[in-house]
Amino acid sequence: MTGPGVKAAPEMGRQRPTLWRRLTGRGSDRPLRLLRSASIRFAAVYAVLLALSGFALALFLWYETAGLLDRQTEAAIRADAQGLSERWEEGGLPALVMTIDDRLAQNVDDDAIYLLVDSQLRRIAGNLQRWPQGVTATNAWYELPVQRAGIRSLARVQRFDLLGGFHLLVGRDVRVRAQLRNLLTDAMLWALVIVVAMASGGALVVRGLFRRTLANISHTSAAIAAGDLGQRVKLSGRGDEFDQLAETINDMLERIGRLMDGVRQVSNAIAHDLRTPITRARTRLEDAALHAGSEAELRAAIERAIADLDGIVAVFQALLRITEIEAGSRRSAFTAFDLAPVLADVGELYAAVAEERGIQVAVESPPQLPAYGDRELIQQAIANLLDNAVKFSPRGGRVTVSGAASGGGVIIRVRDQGPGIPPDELSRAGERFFRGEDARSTPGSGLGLALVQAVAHLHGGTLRLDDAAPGLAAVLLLPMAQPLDPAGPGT
Amino acid sequence: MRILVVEDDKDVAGFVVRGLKEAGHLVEHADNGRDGLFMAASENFDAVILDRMLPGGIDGLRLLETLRGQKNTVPVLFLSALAEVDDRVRGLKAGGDDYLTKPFAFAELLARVEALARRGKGDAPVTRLLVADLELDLLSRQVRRAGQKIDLQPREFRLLEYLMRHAGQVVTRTMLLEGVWDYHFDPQTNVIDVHVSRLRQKVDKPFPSPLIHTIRNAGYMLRADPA
Amino acid sequence: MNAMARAASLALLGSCVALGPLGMPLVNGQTPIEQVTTDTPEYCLHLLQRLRQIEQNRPPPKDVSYLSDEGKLMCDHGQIRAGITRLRRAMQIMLAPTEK
Ligand SMILES: Nc1ncnc2c1ncn2[C@@H]1O[C@H](COP(=O)(O)OP(=O)(O)OP(=O)(O)O)[C@@H](O)[C@H]1O
Ligand SMILES: [Mg+2]
Repeated sequence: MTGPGVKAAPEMGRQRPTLWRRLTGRGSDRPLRLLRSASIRFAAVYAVLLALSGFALALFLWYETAGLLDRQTEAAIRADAQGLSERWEEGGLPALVMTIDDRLAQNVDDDAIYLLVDSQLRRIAGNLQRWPQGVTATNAWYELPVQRAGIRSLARVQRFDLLGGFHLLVGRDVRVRAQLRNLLTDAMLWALVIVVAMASGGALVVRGLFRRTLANISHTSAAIAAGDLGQRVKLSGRGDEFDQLAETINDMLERIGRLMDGVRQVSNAIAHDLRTPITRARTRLEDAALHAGSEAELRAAIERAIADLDGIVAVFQALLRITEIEAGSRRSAFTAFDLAPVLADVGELYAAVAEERGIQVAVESPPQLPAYGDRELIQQAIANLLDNAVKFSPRGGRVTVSGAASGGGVIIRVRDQGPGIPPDELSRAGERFFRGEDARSTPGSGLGLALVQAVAHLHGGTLRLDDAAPGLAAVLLLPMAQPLDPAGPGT
Repeated sequence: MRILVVEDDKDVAGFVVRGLKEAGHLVEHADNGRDGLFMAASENFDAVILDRMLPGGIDGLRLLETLRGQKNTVPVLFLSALAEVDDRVRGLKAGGDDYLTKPFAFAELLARVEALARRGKGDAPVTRLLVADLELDLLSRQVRRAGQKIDLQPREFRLLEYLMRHAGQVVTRTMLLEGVWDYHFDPQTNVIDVHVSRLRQKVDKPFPSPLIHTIRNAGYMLRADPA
Repeated sequence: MNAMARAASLALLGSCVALGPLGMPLVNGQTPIEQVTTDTPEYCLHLLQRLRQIEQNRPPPKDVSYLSDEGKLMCDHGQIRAGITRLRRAMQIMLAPTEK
């Protein structure tokens, strides 16, 4: 039993509907609230199932035992009557009377009942005093109360009509059997009561279990809903379904946390990093409006401001692109493709620029390099790495772009001979808007590596920045060479 | 050329219409999807500039799908603030010929629209491109200028081919990046400029008059007269 | 939940109880209760006489005479039904078809 139904605090009656009202939803402001609780529903299902199977079992047993007794009695009576009618056909009335007498005389079980009467219902043979009034129909079973040596008993009888107006009553005293049957019925009913009690108790246990298992998850969810994003669902360590669920939820929370961080970073970036170029553009325009001496001067200022704005738009676009990639929606665009020409193309695209600066770009790749993913994004990621390598390489340096198959996936390495990234900056280099101390003089917004990292994550891979002494080796590992399961890679 | 601009933002529409008129085009303007669809379906245009988000129940995608459903093949350039890769893909799938995201540079828009409108014209397969004394044979993959053979790298060849196919038109850096390298992102560094200047070294430097011209704030143009 | 289980169980219990005297007209009420005539001392005597008659033709085995004596004794002491049972058993043995 659930608490509220038992506790009868008067003011609770107003606040909480009675059990019945809750169950039916009538007159309740929270209709069916109780049944909406999954734990109670599960427990109810458990109880009903258990009780039903208990009933089915009891009913079956009852029918098989008590029913069997009845059927046996009836079969005996029929066989008896059959025998008697044969005697009647063979020897007529005297034979029948004698048989009845004999049978009575040998009825050790002391349960046989016979009565043979003529058409006037006068008794001819048998052990009943008179023809019982109620027994009027043939082929029907009667329960007949009889008196046996002063004790009331019950007989089951059937009437047979013989030629010549004689009537025959054949029956059995079923008092003992009836007692047995009642005993059985009682036992079954008690068994049912026990089943119901156990079902209720079991239901309570089930509900408790259910609640306890869910409490863990719901506590965590509540804490998170209240703003504590650091909470995680505790694992029981059993590795069961609930643990799996908890792990999934934790993964989800992890991902939400990462996305939230991303959003926070972006808003910070908008607040700080974009403020600078916007301020610059605004200053330029205002300065031109106030101080421009000639139309040419004004135009020049406006054009520069437009260039500034274009820069801001480019940053925005890059940011949005990263966000788009991180959201993972681009996974639908994954295809299998050959990475070798992609590497060659990107290398060729930058080789010209590099050469202008006296830097050599070499592409090392097998003739074919099967990969799986978003070709355009991988292209862009490699371009960004190469862009950095060329940008930070000293004159006369050498940049190597190499691709290789690696354990079912591909590994792309872009190596330069520049200054590299100092160890304390390595971990932050992939953050949005991060630019190294020495990079301030070069153009850029610090989004290049962030995009590469996002692309790597999208493909379930990683971006590693190694010290190539001298220089930097950026290693992009994309572990998939062919489609994975539809769920996509986990990170 | 007759160009239809379907754009609900008054400032943008006014700017675009004015710019196109200055460039010598006949321009019609519709500020909602319904009118835009009606005009595009009932009149002959050389190109349509189409915003994606439009008032009036019919957005740009629906408009274009309806138009294509009527077997209308007018070249359509999407001009949209929806900048995600998927948006672009959706626009092109719906039958768009080009996709430009806002904010945009007018020079870029003009160059793309003109390229689209011209492409819509003569589509006869050519095997030889000829501009002034510059000759490009697509079959033998040979380039000659003033009868003199010029050796080009495969990529340079494709770059020149692109410029020659769009001879007399402004070609922007992004158009080159998309058309020659099939890249749909901004490579930050001025890689295209370097490639074009290398091409110039081979095609223009040894000859008296240059063919490849830099158009300020826009891109490049290959044309015969040095006007 | 328990309420639901209880309601269901009550319904089923009811049907079980109802199943007991299923489809059986009960002959009772005002009609006087019929007497069974084979539980009386008279019947005991009657059985004993029949047994004696049969025993005249064929000497009874030891247990038959034992049973009939015992039955008679019990009938005399008022344990009618038990006595009759003994006599019936004796009768059964005597009337059994052709013993070996
Ligand atoms: N190859 C490299 N050698 C030395 N430092 C590098 C190299 N690549 C990246 N870095 C450092 O990491 C920082 C972040 O690189 P990232 O590519 O994200 O930004 P960026 O190149 O400065 O700007 P953008 O790529 O947006 O033009 C750089 O500012 C630089 O300090
Ligand atoms: Mg970079």
